[in-house]
Amino acid sequence: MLSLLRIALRNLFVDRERALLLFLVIASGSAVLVGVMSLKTGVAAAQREAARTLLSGDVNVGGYFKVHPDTLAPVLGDTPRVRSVVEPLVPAGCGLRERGRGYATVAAGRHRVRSFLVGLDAGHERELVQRMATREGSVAALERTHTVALSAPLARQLQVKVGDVTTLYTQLVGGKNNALDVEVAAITEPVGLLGESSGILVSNATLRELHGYRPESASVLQLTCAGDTDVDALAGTVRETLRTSGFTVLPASHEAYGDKMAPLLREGWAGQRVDVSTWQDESSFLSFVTDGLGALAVLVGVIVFAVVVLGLFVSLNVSVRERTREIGTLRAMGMHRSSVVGMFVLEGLLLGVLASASGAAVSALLCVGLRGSVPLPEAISNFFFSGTLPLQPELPHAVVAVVLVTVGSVLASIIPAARAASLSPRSAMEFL
Amino acid sequence: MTLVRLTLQSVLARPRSWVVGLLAAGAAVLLTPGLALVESISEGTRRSLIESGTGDLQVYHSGSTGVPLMLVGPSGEAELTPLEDYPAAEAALRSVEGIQEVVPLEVGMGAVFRGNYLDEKLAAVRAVLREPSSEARDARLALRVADLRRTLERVARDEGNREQAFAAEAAYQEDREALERIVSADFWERFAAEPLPALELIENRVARLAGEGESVSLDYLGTDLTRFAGAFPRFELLSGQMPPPGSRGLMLGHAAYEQFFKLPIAFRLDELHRALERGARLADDEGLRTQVDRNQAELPDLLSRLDVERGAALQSALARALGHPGELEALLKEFLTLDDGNFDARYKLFYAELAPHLPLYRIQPGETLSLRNPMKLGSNVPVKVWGTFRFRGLGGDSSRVNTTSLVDLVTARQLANRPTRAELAEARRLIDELGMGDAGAPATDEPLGPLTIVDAEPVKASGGELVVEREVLADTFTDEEMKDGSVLQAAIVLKPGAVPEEVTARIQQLAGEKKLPLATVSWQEAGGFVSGVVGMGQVLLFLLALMLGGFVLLLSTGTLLLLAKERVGEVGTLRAIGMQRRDVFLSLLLEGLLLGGVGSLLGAMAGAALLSAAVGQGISVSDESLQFFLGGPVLYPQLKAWHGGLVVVGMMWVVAWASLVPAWRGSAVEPVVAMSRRGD
Repeated sequence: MLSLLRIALRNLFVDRERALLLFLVIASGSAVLVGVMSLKTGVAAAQREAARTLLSGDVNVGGYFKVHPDTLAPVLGDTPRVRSVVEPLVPAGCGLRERGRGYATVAAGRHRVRSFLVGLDAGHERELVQRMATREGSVAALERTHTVALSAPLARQLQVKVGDVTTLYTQLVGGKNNALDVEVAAITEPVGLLGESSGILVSNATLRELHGYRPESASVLQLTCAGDTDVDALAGTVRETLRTSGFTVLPASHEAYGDKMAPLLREGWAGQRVDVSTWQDESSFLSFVTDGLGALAVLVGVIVFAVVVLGLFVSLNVSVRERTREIGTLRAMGMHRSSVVGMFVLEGLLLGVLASASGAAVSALLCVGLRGSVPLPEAISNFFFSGTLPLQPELPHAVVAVVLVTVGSVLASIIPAARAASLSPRSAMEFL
Repeated sequence: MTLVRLTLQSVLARPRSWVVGLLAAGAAVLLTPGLALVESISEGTRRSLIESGTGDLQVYHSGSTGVPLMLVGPSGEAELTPLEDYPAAEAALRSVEGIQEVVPLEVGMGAVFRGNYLDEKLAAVRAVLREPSSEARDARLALRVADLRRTLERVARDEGNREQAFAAEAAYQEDREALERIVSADFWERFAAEPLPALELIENRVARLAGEGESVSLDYLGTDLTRFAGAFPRFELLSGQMPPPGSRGLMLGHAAYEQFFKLPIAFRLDELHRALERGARLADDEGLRTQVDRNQAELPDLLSRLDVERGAALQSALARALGHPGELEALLKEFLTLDDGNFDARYKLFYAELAPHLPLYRIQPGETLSLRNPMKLGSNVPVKVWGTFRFRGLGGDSSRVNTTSLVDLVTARQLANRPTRAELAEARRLIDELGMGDAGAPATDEPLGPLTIVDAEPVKASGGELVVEREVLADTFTDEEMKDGSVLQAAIVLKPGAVPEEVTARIQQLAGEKKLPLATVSWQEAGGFVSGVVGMGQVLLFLLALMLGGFVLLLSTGTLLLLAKERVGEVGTLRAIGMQRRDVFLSLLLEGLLLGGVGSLLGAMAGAALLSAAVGQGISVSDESLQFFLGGPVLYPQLKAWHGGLVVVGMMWVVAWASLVPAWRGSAVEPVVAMSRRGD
């Protein structure tokens, strides 16, 4: 086996130019594949971070309240009672926070924009608030009542800066309008597509005042966990426990809370309903971006596989012809057919492993080097949830690329190897 | 000529060199259908946008901070400066060569209250009260009053729960006390004796508590309705009629009508039907089963909306459908007990037998809706619903484009809180009269310019509460009123064969010559997010083509280098008999080009054949949002000659680059060196 390995290695070095070109093809295929997978993971991570910052915890216990069947407000009226049921279910390492949900129009002079409203308690979420990137001011200032943090796209449309006063308008249940003057405390960096659609941050107290909710209410209790918590299982447990505790819980549905409102409005009940969702549900309207990148990664994988198989097949076929004399000599010296097959397959395998591993390593290093340093145009940064190219290479990407390419290399070398092994020593020696 | 012959002979003599052609063919097989598909999608989106109101170009005020967008974005409408003298601008545009039609437009976000459920009950009682006295009428009245009483008891119960979520509001205290009195037995005894004053009390006190009902979004396009319907071929009237010229009116988009105004039980059946058609099963989906349960839970609400005649007709229809008689509620409950086995049959029966006897929609053509624009914070504008329409082939009940409604320009201006020229002139006159000459010329929804807030003691009003309201709009308008106002944008439909870029240049020239404040955007820009997604698809295809081209380049170079090495002897012989190095180089280069050309041509033909075989009859598209991108319910990938031509030229270019080094190296062999080695 060792001797076969030596021969295969030597053969690779004999025709360096050919080997180098094949190496380049295989390595670049592997590199592109790792690059696309890193991009998909980076975008998914940026999207998850954005969703978990603005829209959702890992698991959410939200509420919908209907005073009358024709009205709907996204609020948990008796939040303390829901909290008392949910708190014991919070796994170790997870936190529980209260958030507000709503929808408002912001007016400044003659400029107006509308967006979903996010209520948070800046005092209890200091760590997250400090992490939130701002262009002006600080989100921590939301601890003051009657303040607002606007995303940069909204602030640009409203032509406001920190310190300006804007007016929040919303429609209360029953159709009346309510308005509240608020001071712009911060202008936050845009967070992808959420920059415009969820661009208004206020304190929970301000949101309650604007919508007329009772003081101890919140819209949603969000469980935030570190690491790989099984959010579906946790959501299932929370849902069942709430049901057995006497709450009317909505069935699981893979939709964001805003998308559930129109169907719920059609329903004829009144009172409180509780809804348990995961972060994937709440960001389901954004999944088309990562789904598209996933499909692209598969397409690139298929193309790379085809190119590797074809490239190596052609090259090894030529190689068999070139090395007919060598094969003849080896067969005459007593080398078995199986060893000839092994020699060629080993050559393809070596080339596949070395080239794909090198390509994957270079691509991963490049991804790490370029991460956060390639600025993106606004249209693309909206879809990628990042102002710079979000690349996040991971070991499984390299493993997938190396395995795929290596399997392709082995498959491509089987037929040329079989052809080489089928040469009789006599016919091969006739080439001499 | 000799070179070409030599090249041909070389290629034919070495089947192994065909690998280069094979590589080019493989890339062409992928890229040709890929290019055709992406271009067909782009063309589908172009047609969808152009034929559904965007037009080939859009014109707007060059001083605007935003650009026209046909689909309202997440943060609201684009900020456009109105074209004050639109009639003059339109007349000038019509003189531009290549323009077929100019349609004024105004994209707006609307909202409408559908009225609360209590209003419907009160209206039902009032309707029976207006009938001539008879035994049958009294029986009907008793039923309606009993239903109203149940509803009021429910309102009282619901009101009691309000403070579970909302802060106590002193303003409602009197109304709540009135409600307590209304649900008492005394009140209903008085009701029997004097129903009209009792109804008035309910309307004045309780209806306020129940609110204005559900508010639904109703995005609209303000336009000249007749011209719009004529200019855009996808416009299709579905029910009612177009407003007569000079009449204010609303044409509801079919999807908005279905989603917001359809009987909830029917709408949920439609949703279940769509879900089951996609392959979902009631047995496996808790959400779908909840929809079935919800329909059964809402039967009392449905029954309370039926009059006696409709109830009897529905009962006999149900008895026929189910094969046995019974009480109406029991029959309906049985009918709506659905599972995977009976759903399809019941769904068909619902529309064939039951729907004719049901109040399927809350609003019918001829009725009036009170529309407002939440972004403009203006007043409600009552507008008559004349009918419903859709854009043909762009999805049905749930497509985004068909949720847009159409409204006349006069109503749209009122919704946008934008004054007419007459109102502006009046405001200017008042400004002059009051000596506020430096307040500037008002042009927007702030007729007196930006407000200044001054802290001052409130002045006690001498009379009652001051209510400032704009003049109520008449149901009709004159041609002058229509023209006597600004317009935000206009869609331009080009004559067949006109080139958009040339027309744009002519418009810009016209704007410069006549000092008109006109700017243009193409359908792509006006399409916003939609055309952005298509643009990304094109960029993606380009990147994939680059990647494939790179692989073909490397593999072809490797293969041609090997072949060049094998041909050292042959080249040496050719050089020895007098062939110049330049000719050898050209011959080897031509060989590469020939292989690349023939290979990519065959590949493009194979790709075209594959495309035709796989999707020759078109790709059926059931997803309604995709139908907009693809230009209809069926995507017909159109392979054009230039698709194949572009791929072939691109591949030949790649293979030519791949041949350069091998050809140079192959031609660099000295005859003496070559002749001393064994070639093939």
